[in-house]
Amino acid sequence: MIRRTLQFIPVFFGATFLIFAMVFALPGDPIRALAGERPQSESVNQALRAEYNLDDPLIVQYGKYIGGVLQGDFGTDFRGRDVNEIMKDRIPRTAKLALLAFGFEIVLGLSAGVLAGLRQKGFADSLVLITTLTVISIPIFVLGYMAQIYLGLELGWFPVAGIQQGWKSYLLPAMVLGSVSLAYVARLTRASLAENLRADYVRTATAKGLSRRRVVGVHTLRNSMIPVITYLGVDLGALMGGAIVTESVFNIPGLGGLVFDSIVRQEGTVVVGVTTFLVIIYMLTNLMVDLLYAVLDPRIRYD
Amino acid sequence: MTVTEPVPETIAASDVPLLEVVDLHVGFRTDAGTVNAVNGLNYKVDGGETLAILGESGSGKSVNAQAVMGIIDSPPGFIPKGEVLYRGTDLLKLPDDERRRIRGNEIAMVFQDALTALNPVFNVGWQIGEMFRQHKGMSKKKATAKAVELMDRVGIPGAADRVHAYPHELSGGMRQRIMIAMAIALDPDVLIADEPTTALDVTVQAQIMDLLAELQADTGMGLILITHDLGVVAEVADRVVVMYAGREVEKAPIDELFAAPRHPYTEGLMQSIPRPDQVTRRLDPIRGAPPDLLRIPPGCAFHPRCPYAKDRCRTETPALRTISTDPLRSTACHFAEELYS
Repeated sequence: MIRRTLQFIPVFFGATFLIFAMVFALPGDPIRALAGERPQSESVNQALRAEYNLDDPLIVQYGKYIGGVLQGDFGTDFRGRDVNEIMKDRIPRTAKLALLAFGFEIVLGLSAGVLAGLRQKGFADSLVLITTLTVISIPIFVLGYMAQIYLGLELGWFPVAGIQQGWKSYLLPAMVLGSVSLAYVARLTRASLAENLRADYVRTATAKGLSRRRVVGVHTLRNSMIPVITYLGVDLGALMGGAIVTESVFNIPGLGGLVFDSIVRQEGTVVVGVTTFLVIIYMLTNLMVDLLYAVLDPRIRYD
Repeated sequence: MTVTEPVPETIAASDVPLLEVVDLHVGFRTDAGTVNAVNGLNYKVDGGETLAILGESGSGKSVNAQAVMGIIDSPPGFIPKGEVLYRGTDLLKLPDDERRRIRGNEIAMVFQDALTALNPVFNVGWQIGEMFRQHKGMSKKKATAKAVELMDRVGIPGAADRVHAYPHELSGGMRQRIMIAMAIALDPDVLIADEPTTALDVTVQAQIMDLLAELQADTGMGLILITHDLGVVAEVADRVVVMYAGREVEKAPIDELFAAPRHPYTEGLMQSIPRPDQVTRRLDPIRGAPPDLLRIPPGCAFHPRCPYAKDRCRTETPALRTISTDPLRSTACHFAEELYS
């Protein structure tokens, strides 16, 4: 367990360093970009460069930055704004969106998968296979616009865009964001359940005279969940970071939009700040999955 | 639910056999056609008796056991014909719910490979205790105590410490003992052991067979032992049914079967065992391979491999019949008298 946690240290430094180096390697001079079309004196440039440690070698810059991050300080951007402050408003929005999407994914994905897996080649199975394949094949922005037009405008069930209506405004974007993962979860659950239903221990459980409900619900489901949990854990991190398209289609000012804007404006500190934050989230969800894994499957032990 | 615990003597004394299989057929629908796994099987087992069902892979011996238990996957499996009479009641006609109560409770089964047959994510005490919790409504604590008792009974040393062990933490022999403990938990009247020792090494095999024999002597249950191993059969069985292509080809009391086979297939099986008293003799395996169950040969299913096959064997399916000279035995060979007299 402790060893498992310690493994995160190199992963953390490796990932953040890579991001930092890639942003460092972006073409263009951020200080010059700051001035835009206006001329800017060399002395001002020098002062700014010094303030942001831009003349230090990459590794020193990284060291100074990561030192701040470890104390919870993500630095300031080139316009002097606190990156912590910028992220503070946006994190809850993205988190809300991701968690709602995650909820859809678990509830609908698992139920569809179980329904399909129990009766392979039945009606429910074919329905799930076809709809999930359709969802997986359609690009997410198309899904987003379609949802806006039909569910938002025509039927008027959900707010179309923006976040003015609180939780309600997040429902439609969360469904769209979660739809692809939902389809994968349904397929994964289906395949895993169908495979486990053929296992010897399921036959034993039946031979013990247990009810079908117990054979499936207790003996088979727990084994079938092992690969699904792995996927879900990785996906929660991906949902947090991968909402760029959905956030822009539905006009939600979250982390995805922030990263996109910051890349365009060459605000390296913000890009690195957000991605570092996401790396931490990713690692935490993975740690949780690993722990859950050991609970679900006693053959896996961290000692 | 009421659970009857009959005294062994009354089982044996009753007129109705404890378990009787009559003209059982089992098929599986596949894309290539119907696989006829069992094609008219008949046998009886009484309390305290051990019946061995002997056959190669694909002879239908395991499918038969699953049909008796009612655990055939359906679809693709189906039972077009036949009866499985438990104390005179046809199990195949019982509603699912009543059938389920008999499973594990009155007819129990031990499977071949205990590593895959036990659930990997629950500890063994939980899995044994489940029998008591589900069939008898016992509390978790009492069920675990019962599990320890049973583990002790099947010879697991330090049962109280191992009750919380997971299957992968035990050795193959221990796992099979757990499997047996689970099967005998509710004192079943019939125990079906499907190749219980195949996955084990030889010394452990003998221990497991001894355990089964001992448990049977204690409880008076009927034991159906399904195996391809003539050695195992010789040690414990009272009577033997030899199966080939889903049919019985010979039935006999164990000693008589070993003394003199009455079917060319049984004869072939005997000749393919190595015998220490005949070191120089070459092993004489049966020619050819078991038939494809999608296309069982017409006539006697064994005729393509039989050294004595005649024209009649290719067209006329031999029925199982009593041998005139030996009323205790029966064979499904047209020429048994000519060949073995």
